[in-house]
Parts: sequence; C-alpha cells; structure tokens
Amino acid sequence: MSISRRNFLGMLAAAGASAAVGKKAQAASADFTGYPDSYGVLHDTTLCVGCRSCEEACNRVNNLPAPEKPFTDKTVFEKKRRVVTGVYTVVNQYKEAKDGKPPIFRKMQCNHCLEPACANACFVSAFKKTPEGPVVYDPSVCVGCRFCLLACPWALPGYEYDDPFAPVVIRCTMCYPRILEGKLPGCVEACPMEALTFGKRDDLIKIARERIRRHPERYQDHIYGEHENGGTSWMYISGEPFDDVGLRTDIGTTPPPKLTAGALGAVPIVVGLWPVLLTGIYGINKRKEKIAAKEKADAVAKAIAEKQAEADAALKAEKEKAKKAQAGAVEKAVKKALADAAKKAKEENA
Amino acid sequence: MSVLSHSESGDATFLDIVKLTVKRVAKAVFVVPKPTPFNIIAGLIVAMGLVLTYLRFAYGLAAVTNLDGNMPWGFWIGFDLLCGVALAAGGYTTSAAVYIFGMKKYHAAVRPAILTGFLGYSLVPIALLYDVGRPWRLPYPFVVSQGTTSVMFEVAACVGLYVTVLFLEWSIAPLEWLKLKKIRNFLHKATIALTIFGVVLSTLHQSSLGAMYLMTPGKLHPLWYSTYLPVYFFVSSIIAGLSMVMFEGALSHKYFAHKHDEEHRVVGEQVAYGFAKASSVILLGYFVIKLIGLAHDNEWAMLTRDFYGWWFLLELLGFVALPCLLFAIGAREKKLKLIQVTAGWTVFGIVLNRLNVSLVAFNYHLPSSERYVPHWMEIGISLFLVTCGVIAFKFIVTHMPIFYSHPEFPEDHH
Amino acid sequence: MRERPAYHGIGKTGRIVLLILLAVGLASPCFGGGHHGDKAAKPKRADLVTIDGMKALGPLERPPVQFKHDGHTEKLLSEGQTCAACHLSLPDGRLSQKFLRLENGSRDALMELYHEKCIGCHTERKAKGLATGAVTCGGCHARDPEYASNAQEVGFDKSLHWRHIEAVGKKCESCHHEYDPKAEKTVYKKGHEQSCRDCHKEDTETRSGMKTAGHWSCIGCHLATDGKSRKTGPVDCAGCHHPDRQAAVKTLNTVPRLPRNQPDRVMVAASAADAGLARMPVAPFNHEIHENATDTCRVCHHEGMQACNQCHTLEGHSRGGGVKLEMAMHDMDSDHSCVGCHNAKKAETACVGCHKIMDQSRLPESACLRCHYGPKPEEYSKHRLVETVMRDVDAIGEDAEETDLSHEGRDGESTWLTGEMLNRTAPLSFAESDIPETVTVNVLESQYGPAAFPHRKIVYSMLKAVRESKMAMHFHGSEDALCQGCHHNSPVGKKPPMCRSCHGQPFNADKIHVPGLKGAYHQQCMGCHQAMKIEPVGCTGCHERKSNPMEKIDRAGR
Repeated sequence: MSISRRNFLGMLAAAGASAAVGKKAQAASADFTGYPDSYGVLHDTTLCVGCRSCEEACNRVNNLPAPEKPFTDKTVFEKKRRVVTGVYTVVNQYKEAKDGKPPIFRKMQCNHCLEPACANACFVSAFKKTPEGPVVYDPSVCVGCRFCLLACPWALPGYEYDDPFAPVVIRCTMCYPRILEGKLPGCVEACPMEALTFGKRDDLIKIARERIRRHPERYQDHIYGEHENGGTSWMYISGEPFDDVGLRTDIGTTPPPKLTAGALGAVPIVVGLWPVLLTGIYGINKRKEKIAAKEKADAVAKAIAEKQAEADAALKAEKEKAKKAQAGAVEKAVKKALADAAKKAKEENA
Repeated sequence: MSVLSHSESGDATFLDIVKLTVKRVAKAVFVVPKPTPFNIIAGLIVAMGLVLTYLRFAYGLAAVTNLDGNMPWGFWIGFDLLCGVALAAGGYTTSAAVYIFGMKKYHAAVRPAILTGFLGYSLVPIALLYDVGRPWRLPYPFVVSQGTTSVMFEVAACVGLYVTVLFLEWSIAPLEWLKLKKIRNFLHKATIALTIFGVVLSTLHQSSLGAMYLMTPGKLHPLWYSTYLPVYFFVSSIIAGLSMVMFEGALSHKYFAHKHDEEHRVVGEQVAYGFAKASSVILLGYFVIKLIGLAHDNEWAMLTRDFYGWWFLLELLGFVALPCLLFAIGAREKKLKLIQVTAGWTVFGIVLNRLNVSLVAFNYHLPSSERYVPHWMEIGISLFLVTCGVIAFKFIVTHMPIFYSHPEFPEDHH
Repeated sequence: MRERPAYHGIGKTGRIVLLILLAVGLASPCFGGGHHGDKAAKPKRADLVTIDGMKALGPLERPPVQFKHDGHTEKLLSEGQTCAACHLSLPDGRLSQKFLRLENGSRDALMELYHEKCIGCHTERKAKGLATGAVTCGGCHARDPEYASNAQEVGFDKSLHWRHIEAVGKKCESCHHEYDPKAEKTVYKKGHEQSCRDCHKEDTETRSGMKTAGHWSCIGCHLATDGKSRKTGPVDCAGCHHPDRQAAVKTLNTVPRLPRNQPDRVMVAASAADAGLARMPVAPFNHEIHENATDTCRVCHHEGMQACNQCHTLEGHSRGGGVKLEMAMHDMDSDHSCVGCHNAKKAETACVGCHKIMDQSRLPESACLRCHYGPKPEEYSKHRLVETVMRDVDAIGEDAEETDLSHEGRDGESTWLTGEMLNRTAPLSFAESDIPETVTVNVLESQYGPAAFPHRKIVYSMLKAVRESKMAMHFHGSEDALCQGCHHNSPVGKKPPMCRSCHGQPFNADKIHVPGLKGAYHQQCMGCHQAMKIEPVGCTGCHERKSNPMEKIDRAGR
C-alpha cells in the first residue's frame, strides 16, 4: 500500500517535472541555436557516387531485415525511394550521367533538426534532441498518431503501416548508441568517398564554407541545413540547386516551436479570461432578469395600488355621496317632518 | 448513495433501483428491428463496418488505408476528427446562447444540440481508435508521458474533458428517462458551471485543431495556411455549430415530428430565425478575417493563378459569402426553408473547408502520382461510424425527452 | 396552415450538386497536382518576326502578331513577286526594312496600314482561291503564338570571315568603312578595320544599329550577287539564323591570318601614361598563337580593336568601364580576360583531373611569374616598346603611316621572350627508373582487396597530354606542375611524402579540412577518373570485393 502510494506520488512529481521542463524548453526556444559541441554530419553530394555502402552499413548496424534486392543492385535508382519499414536511409539518384557529367546522388535520412518539429509535435514526448546531436525516439510511449510525420517539413520519417500490433515510427537514429561509444555512425564509417563527414556541427559548417570558397565552380553557395527549419545537425552541400536534389528550398528558417508558440500562448489567456467573462455575462443577464422581474413586480404592485387607491377613492366618493344623499334625505325627512309638524300645528291652531 | 434514490418510491434499495434501470434499458434496447428502409441500409453499413474493423485491427493500417510517409493523416482525421468536432460545436454554442447569453426563448434547442454534440464528440475518440497505431495507448499522453509542447496535447486534453462535460450535460435526458431524480437534479444544478467549462474547452480545442496545421507551412497550400488558422477554425466552428442546429432541427422536424411537443415545434422556427441572423453576422466576420489573412500574406495574385486559387475562391465566395447573404435574407424575410437549405449548404461548406485543409490543399507541392486519395475502406469506416451515430441518435430521441419536456421534469429556468 | 413551399430541405438537384462537389474535392489532388509538366513543345521556326512596333506608341490592345517571314517570301517569290510586294525603296535604292512604309507615322495610321494591307491581301487571295492567311483578329493576334523561335544570333567566325574576304577579292573596303566627320561620309582606312559593332550599336537618326546594318549589308550583298558568277549567301531568315543551317555552313580547316597588320607578339603592359605606376614585369604575349586559338578578335578585344591598356588603365578609366588593367587580365569569370579564358581551358577533359581538386577561387602567388617574365616596367618603358606595340588609340587614324607596324625588327625584344615561352620542352626530368612503375595500395585493406596503381603509366600519359598542347607546355614547365597534380601540398622530389603521412583517421578535429586516408584515395582516384572519363570508375575496377565487406562494422544488439 505504502509503496504503491509512493509510486503514485513519484509519478505525479515526474509528471509535474516533465511538464515544467517541457514548458521551459519551449520558452527557451526563442533563441536556441543548438547544443554547444553537438555532432552532425555534412553530406557533400558532389562526392557521392551512389555505391549504397551507407545503406548496407545502416542495415547492418541497426540489425534491419535483409532487403529484397542486394545493396550492389543499382537498378533501385530507377525509382525514387524513401524511408519505409526496415529502411532508415536511402540513396536516390536525381540526375543521370550526361554530357560527361557524373550522375547526381543524395543520401536521405532524418535531418536531426536542432529544434525538431517531430519533438515539438509529439503529445507523448517520444522524441528528444540529445545534447550530442541525434534526435532520439522512444517507441515505448508512442501512440502512433503520426503527427511527427505530418510536422516534418521534409516528410522524412516513415511509419510501419503494415504492422497491426506494434507499429513504430521509422527513422535514422544517427547511431546514437554508437556515438556514445565513441564510434562513427554506420553510414559515415562505410562511405568510401567521405561524402559524409562526421564532426562537431560548428566544424562542419567551417568545412562546408571552405569547400565552397575553394570551389565556387563546383558548389551552390549555400549550406543546406545551416538555417533551414531552425537548423539541422545533418547538412548538405551540393553542385546542383537544392530543389533539384530533393531538398526543398521553401522550408524557411523558422524553428518549428515558433510556429505554434502563439497558439499555445493563448491557452492561459483563454483559461483565465473566458470563465470570468462568461460568468460576468451570465451574472449581468441574471441581474437584468432579476431587475426586470422586480420592475415588473413593482409595476404590478404599483398598478394594483393605484387601482386600489382609485377604487378606494371611488368607493369613498360613493360613500360620501350616499352619505350625503342619506343626510339630505334625513334633512328632507326632518324638514318634511318639521313642515308636517308645523302644518299640523297650524291646522291645530287654526 | 443518497443521490441515487429513486423517484417512485423513496425507500427503494440501491439494488432495486439498479434492477429497475436495467430492466428499462433492456426493454428499450432488445427490440427486434422492423425491416424499414432505414434499418436495412443501416444494418448493411454496420455489417460492412464490422468486417472493415476486423481488417483494420487484424492487418494494420496498410490493409485498409492509402496512408503513407507523405500523407500520415488521411480521411479519418480530415472527416471524422476535423469535421466531426466542428459540426458538433452546436452543443456549446447553443447552451452558451441560452444559459449564458440569456436567450431563454431558445431553450428547447439546447437538448437536441447537446445530444448531437455528445454523439459527435463520442465518435472522435472511437475514430481515433482506428486511426492511431496503438489505440490502447490513447490515455498515454495523460498518464504516462506528457508532451506539453504539442498542440495535439491541448487538443487531446480538451476533447477528453469536453466529452466528459458533454456526457454530464446530456445525461440529464437519460436520467429523466430512467427517472433517477436526485442525481438528475444534482447535475441540473451544475448546468451553468458545465456550460462555462464547455465554452472554455471548446474555444481551446476548436482553435487548436487549426493550430495543428500551423506545423505544416511547407505542406499546406499558402492560401489555406495562415497564422490565423486557429482563429479560422474557432470562428467557423461557431458557424458550423449554429448551422448544424438549424439543419438538424429541420431534419428532426421532418423525421421525428411525432416526438416534438408543441413548445419544441414552435421554438424550432424561432431558433432558425435567431440563429440565421447570428450565423449571418459571424459568417461576415469570418469572411472579413479570411480577407485579412489573404492581405496579411499578400496572396491576392494566387487567387486566379491555378486550380487552387479558383478552388479557394469557390470556398470563400460560395460557402462563406453566399450563405452569409442567404442567412441575412432568410432571417429578415422570415423564410424558414431558405434558412434550412442555407444551413445545410453552410454545413457542407465547413466540411469542404476542413477537407481542403487536411486533404485537398495538403501536400500541394507533390506531383499528382505521389498524392493521397482515400481508400474506399477509409470512407467505409467513416460511414460506419456516422451510421452508428445516427442509430444512437434515433434511439435516444425515441426514448428520451429530447424534443419534448418530460412531464415529471418541467423546465425550470436558471 | 402554411402552404407547402416550393422546395423542402435539400432538393434532389441539390443533393446531386453536393455529391459532385464532394467528389471533385476529393478527387482534385489527382489532377490538381502541383507540378505541371511542360506544355507540348511548340514547333520551332527561325523566321519569326514579332509585329509589336506600336508598343512604342502606347499600350497594345491585343497580343503582338507572330509573322512568318520566310513563309511569306517563299510563297510570294514562287508566284513571281519581288520584295517590293512588301518593302518600299529608299531614295538611295536600298529596300526599307519596314513593311510597306518608309516612316512609322501615327499609331492609328500604322494600325490602319497593317490591317488594310495584311487583311486586304489575305482576303484577295482567298477570293482567288490561293493559299492565304488569317482574316480574323484572333487569327493573327494570338495570345498563345503557334511557334517558338529557335533563331540564333549570327556572326562571322574566322572561317566565315575568310571565305567572305576571298569572295570579295580581298577587298576589305567591300564591307569595312568608317565615318569621316570632315567629309561627312563613310571612308575606308586600310589597316584600321574594326568590328561592325564598334560603331553600329543601336538604331539612331544618323546611324543604323547592328541588326539593321547587318540585314542591309548582308542581304543587300547576297541579293546583288546572282550566285552564278560567284557564290552567294542566303537571303532568307533561316539561312543565317536557323541552328541547322548554321551548323551546315562550310568551315575552313586552316584559316590564314587576317591581313590587318596586327602584331605577332606584344608586351602586355600598362600604357605609356601609366608607365610610372607599373611595378610588375611585363607579360610577353604571343598574339599570333592566340589568334589561332580563338574564333574571333572580339573574344579578347570587345568591339574595338585597340590595345587593352588603352581602355583598361592601371587605376581604371571610364573608357574601360572602370575595369582596371589587373582585373581585365585576371578576372576569373570573364570571357575576355587571360585568366578567365585559361581557367575555362582547365575544365577541359585532359586538364580537369588534376585541376578540379585545386583551389579554384584564386591563383597561387607562384603563378604570377608564369606570365610576368618580361622586362621590368622601367626598362621596358625606356625602350619605348610600348609605343611600337601597344598603339595609342588616339594616334590611330590621324597618322596611319606611323602606326602601320612591321613585325620584324621593331619588336625584336618581345620576339625572344615569346620565343622562350614556346621552348619549354622538358616538364619532367626524372629518369624512367626514378618513377615507380606500380604502387600497391593496401594499407586500408579490409572490405576490399588491395588496389594496384599503375603509377608510371599515369605519369607518362599525363606527360603526353601536356606535350600535345603548347599552352600546357608553357604552364607545366617543370616537375612541380606535373607531379603536384597528385602529390600536392608538399615539395616535389623523387621520394615525395606518403599519402598517409598527412591523411590518417578521418574527421580529425585538428585537421578538419584534410580528408581521411580512405576518403583521400577515393576522392583523388575516382574524382580524376570520373572527370577525365577514364575507366574504371566503379569499386571493383580497382580492387576486389571481399565476401562480406561490412564485416568490420559492428552489428548493434537490439
């Protein structure tokens, strides 16, 4: 009994704490520019040769099921692929080799935003941005509402729609456990071209800037992910316009928490003001009704009183009249009696 | 236990009351349905719904939906959740009008509105059981892990609480039917508090449903995306609620005429004139804030650019401006039928708006080959749920004092 | 009792409308998709004239008319008509390029003219049963024109220029002229020929623009030449402007130098006026070789043929658009500058393999003296070579005799300097035995087997490529240039540092710009193979895949 009670209290405290932390993180997001010294990956698409070693390594380090076609099969490039059940990352081909120019490939996986939309959207806090850089996901609390998929500006996560019992969100973990062990993410380790560079995010930006500076003829003058969606840990430099390699340039730079900050900020106002306002309106209407009722009652009373007074007056007048008439009659009678008496006396005297 | 004392005999035991209640409910429920056209069609839909339900839970979402990574929310969210919640707004709008804003003369409209609201809101969590991956975890956001930064958390909390509020508000009718006087009177006393609580919760979650789409600036077409989305959703929910009360009033009047007492018959018309006037004003306001939204983002040029522009104009002019005008005419000229048709039109307009936001204008940037079109089974399950709602509605209005005042419980005013 | 109203609830029609709307709404994602494919490609023509001249006289009421010029001329000429059917003659005998008028006149008059003449002719022809054109407004004023234009700019390259020189019997005055303000007429000055564009820019009162002048001169001459006594050129639009017809123009394999007394060699230096300011040794420049390497004089000279330093002074002058001499020669992105043009050459297949990995944003300091190896500016100015080679633009014309340069003798100094430029013949001095034949790369062997790298074969194929190009010979004068293509960032020698001396573990936080060894090999080898289109470019072309290449990468416990 006592233990369960303690647990319950503990749970309450934890709930309170997590609620408080959540609010604080949200408030702090106003000028959050990423955890200091967090890691990231820079993908230089000009170096990617489409060997799919990253896909193979990802499959291996995450113990994912064997694919239908082997990783050496290049026919997969005929179709645009995405993250689906059992696949955390894919390499897509965006341009074929043409006029002596090599084909263009890009690896695609979760971009591990600095302020992830998925984490902001999740109503069970299943997503967490770690100080090391990766965004991690806890399937043990996931309800499966898929708001994270909706909120991701690139629609990067997948979902196990085909699993009726324990479907989970499918996404790259940036090999968070390996990073904690001091190892490289599987894909980065496997990439023969170093098209994927692992390092501190700040260093990656320096590397990207230096490559663009040295080779203005090779790169677009932009580091995709430096500011997109509030900044991402996984960034890209490319020779082709980013839209042509499947990276939308109309994402904007607003960190996702800012998108709903205003709407959430209105909650306390509504909760605080509405009851007061509504009760007030109710009170005013009630009072109006009361006053109206009282006025009505007063008016009725007054009318009754007036009528009464009128009736009384009429009665009085009537009475008076009657009295008068009576008095007159008496007088008349007296007079008549007197006259009669006088007449009689006269006659008697006569 | 004291509140449960029975009206008929003051000294009946608790057990007696339970027995009587069960008997009364059983008598009403276990009736062999007559083969009317309604019953046959409803029966078929329910049978189909049960099969689809089995498919959904045995084989997963992929078996019955066209959802994918790009389109995680489909017809069930667009129709069952967004439209369901908007159209069930009649409950809070009507009770607020009557109890808080003192429009006592529409009192007779409250119970039907609350009933529709309650049924509408009850369908939402049921629909979500189908939609979410692990439905048995629906209470998780409250008891296991709270994602307070999420707009959806707000939606979940408010809808959850509001369903409870609606249940309490509605339960007066079954309590009257079951003649559980004391508990009925207790709840009846709480009407004002429940109404105020209901308005607060509705304001929050109606707007938050729009706020969820604030997260998708790159996916929702700019004509529909606006930082005012929460305001649009809230204001249009009032319109939806009022229109639904008028529209449903017209239908009930037609199909459940025998259930109406004299007061409800007469008041029904009064409600239509009053609500039409209110709807017209709110529609005008809605139209204006929609224009402000367009001006704010300077999207005028998009209006005639492509399909989306014309589609948006159709929604704005055909389903906001036009009903605004028609309601005004109807209220002024006392044209009941015009009002009822316009109410239906407006309800459809709100449905159109919610489906535009959630489906039509969503993922507008994708090539058509990657766009989502609902699977027929998704629509089938939605149809099944709506049919269940209609059956419940029919059962309740047939047995409980919705369209008439219970002789033992004359309306007393607050 | 109320009367039964005309409609009740939602009528049948209403229900159908609602159903349709709902269906459209739901289906719209199917056809409302964001990306519309390209509209069906329109047929292309090179003879399209857009009739929108009234634009200058006020806003157009209808879309401009797309006019098929060749379509009209072919038809009319085949029926025995002449250009005069549509074009009036000017007092000097040339045809007006305007349609049936000499001057534009008022807006109304212009509209009247077109409507009367075009529709009139079309109607008349229709009545006669001849092939004809539109007579309705929309028939000509189409919002969405029927054709797209594929007309290309046209101009002389060296070959076409030479063929015209021969065609007119080497009489340059047939085309070249300049305006003499004293005589108030055009005159020809031998040795002072400029490009047409130097004077003919925009149409003005007194001077025709390039387009007008070009059409008068070219078509006028082509028309005047009957084609029997000697060959003549096209007179239709497509003949000059259609890409296919342009491609079909005969090109000479060898084109003699243009006889304009241009120098063989020059010293690129600041002008005499700037002489005191110049610090860099002058750059000897082989004009003759560069003439062969370019298509037209305009590639370097813009429109006028004057010397660079006349407009581009050391500190910039309005004559040269404010572009300083330094920028004019070194702008990396310009088509006119030395460095810009040479940079473009580096992107050619034979060069790009080495050059693509180098810093493309600037030239290293060591590159300066590759060009600036002439005399110091003060010595140069003492010899007054600047006057003889870099002519002063103002002097030209006033004293043609003096600036008529003879190449031999007077620029002897620049001759040996530019001669030396071509005599660098030994970019590699290592003996064959000093160059390892094969280098086996096996330090990283794990997922794949060792790679055998044919080192000597690659060195000699690079050497061969360099020797085939005079320019490459000049710029790759030593082992430094040749070996450092791969052995970068270290001095050249018979035993350069190993790759792994610098390239080790990847992602070293202290050397963030240096790739790891695996990345360095793959970037260098595959980058070069890809850029130079050398097989193999795949994995197994260099090393064999082991049975389980991912063995080394740990599996995670789930």
